[in-house]
Amino acid sequence: MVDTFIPADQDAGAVDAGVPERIVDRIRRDAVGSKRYGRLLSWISKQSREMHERGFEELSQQQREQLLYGLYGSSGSDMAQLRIDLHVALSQCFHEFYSSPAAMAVIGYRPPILGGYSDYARPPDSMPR
Amino acid sequence: MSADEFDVVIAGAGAGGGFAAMALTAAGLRVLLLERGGRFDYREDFPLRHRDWERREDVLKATTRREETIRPTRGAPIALRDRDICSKGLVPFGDGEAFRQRGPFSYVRVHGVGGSTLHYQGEAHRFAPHAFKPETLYGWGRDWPLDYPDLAPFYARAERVLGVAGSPGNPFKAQRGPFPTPAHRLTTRSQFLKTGADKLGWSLLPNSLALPSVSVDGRSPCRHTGGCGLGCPFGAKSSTDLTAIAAAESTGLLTLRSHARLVDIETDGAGNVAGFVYRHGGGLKRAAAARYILALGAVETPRMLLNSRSPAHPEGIGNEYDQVGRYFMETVLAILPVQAPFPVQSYTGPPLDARIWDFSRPQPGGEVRTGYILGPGGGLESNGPVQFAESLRGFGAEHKSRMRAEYGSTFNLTGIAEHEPRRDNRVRLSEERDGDGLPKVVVHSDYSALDKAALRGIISNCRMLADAAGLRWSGQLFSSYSHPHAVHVAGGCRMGTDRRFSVTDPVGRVHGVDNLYITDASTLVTQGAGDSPSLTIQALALRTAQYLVETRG
Repeated sequence: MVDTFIPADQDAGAVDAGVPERIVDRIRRDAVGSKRYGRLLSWISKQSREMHERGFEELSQQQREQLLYGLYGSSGSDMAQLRIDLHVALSQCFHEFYSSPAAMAVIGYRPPILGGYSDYARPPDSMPR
Repeated sequence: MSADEFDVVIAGAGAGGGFAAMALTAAGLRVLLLERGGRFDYREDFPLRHRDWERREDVLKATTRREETIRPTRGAPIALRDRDICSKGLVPFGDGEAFRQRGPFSYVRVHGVGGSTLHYQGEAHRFAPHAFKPETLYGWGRDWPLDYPDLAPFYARAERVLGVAGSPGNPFKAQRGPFPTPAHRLTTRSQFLKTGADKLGWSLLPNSLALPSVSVDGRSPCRHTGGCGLGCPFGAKSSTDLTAIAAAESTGLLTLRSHARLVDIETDGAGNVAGFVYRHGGGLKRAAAARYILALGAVETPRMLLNSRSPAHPEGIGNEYDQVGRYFMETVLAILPVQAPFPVQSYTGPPLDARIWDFSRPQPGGEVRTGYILGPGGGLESNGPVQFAESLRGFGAEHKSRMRAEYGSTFNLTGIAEHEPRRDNRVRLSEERDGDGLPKVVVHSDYSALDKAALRGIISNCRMLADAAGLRWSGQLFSSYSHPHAVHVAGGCRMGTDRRFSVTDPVGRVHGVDNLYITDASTLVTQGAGDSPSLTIQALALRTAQYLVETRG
């Protein structure tokens, strides 16, 4: 699931950054979180079988995104809990990935503790467009 | 209970309490400074010490997480005609709900040695001379019982202590000499913004900031992390703990007691203060002194006065004329997220590095009669990679591409206006009590027609500025009208010469009490036309302290 949220391309994705391991470590100490992921992964697996007759991990990135966006953009009250589960999982994935050194390299971000930003006042016309 | 003896006891170690402590100890007085929160060490405590800071707790925000000050109540109904000044798309609940009624009052603060200067972004503004005379000049509010020249020398002293960086020559302010440290260069985003301001004929100027641009007192100069709101990891920001309180400690005359919460003000038969009772180390203690200072802020100081009833003060201390808690002012604020056509390192540099003061002095007879200022807003705490990822809708390959292309290109345009002081905007005691047995407060705060007009002016001018600079505005808006979110609160114990309409006299002494003074935002009569209040609080505290020194027994 996390490699659907943040796939590898020319740059590292969530799996390369070790996000699954960190999330597993997190839910190992969190019964509510464990139940949440169990419920969500079970629904994803079932949907994948019903829609594509294949496991989720066998789908293309596009198919996996399509499946998850179906839940992400749903509005029915019967899907409310799963929708919350998905948003929580997505938020945790973003937290784990975009606070990692791998992601910082992807977006060109330097954390300030490395010395602050002496180049904070670069003229706009010197910036890459 | 154990008793201590001091010349002055101060409750609250924020902007006002810290500066009063500094001035009093410098003059040889023994001071006890009580602070409800703890003390932070920038070398260890703040999340920006770590590369993965967005996974760490915001320790400053955490200081008030379980606090029970306010009993939340929804605000006044919102009329259909005012929907244009309501939040759009940036709020935790739907627009439909937000449009019916103002949200409950909320305000941002920190409990800790340094108070809210621990998380402020360093704005250090002298109020303009006209801001002290709104009644005379614009027909609203009340004039201050003092003028700019009365405060100017105290402003200058406070600026020196803070090492304020700035550039003289702001045409919207009083003439002045050089700042203690030179102004910061404009950030990339503000240089970009300036192109728009120039087209409109507005003056985008470097902000005056308590972020020294060169080393002061051996501390690091500002390193432009953009993370002031999370606590400066280099100790460069001039928060009160690192400046005034450190100076007071160096005299050997300051006793600083953290995790010490004031819970009662004892008075004698004449109605003067006989002691401060505070909770510390699991028990109650009593501090006695010749004179006392409250510096708890515009919510807590009225709360303590209203809760201190005795035969001499049947309605609370200083409340003979039902003035305590009244004329409370929150923050009239609008935020518009905008996107530059290319990355401008929007997460770097002082978050509030530039300001447009063109609208801070209203034209008499104009539609907008309260002042406001515009500029870039926000900070790293709302602009880190994780926050930005969450602000972009969706996920997947396209989301990642957008992160690569757009991170560093978005920032906020912000405007802050004066909140018209009105009698019925007030802090009152609730029937509910907190964990220490103190009554919670109910804050009633509504917007007047003047406040709404100023908010419309802010939103309209931010949109014009965005257009002129070539910035894309998504249509999203955060408005403090529908979603109260005060970063500056003031009033509630305003100063004046007529005790029927004020709580303290012009030096901050509570009417009817010989030995109780207030040195916090609650004594402010107005909010300085949108300027930030901390430097004025500090200047007033220095002025009160000077009076105490000159009149000591």
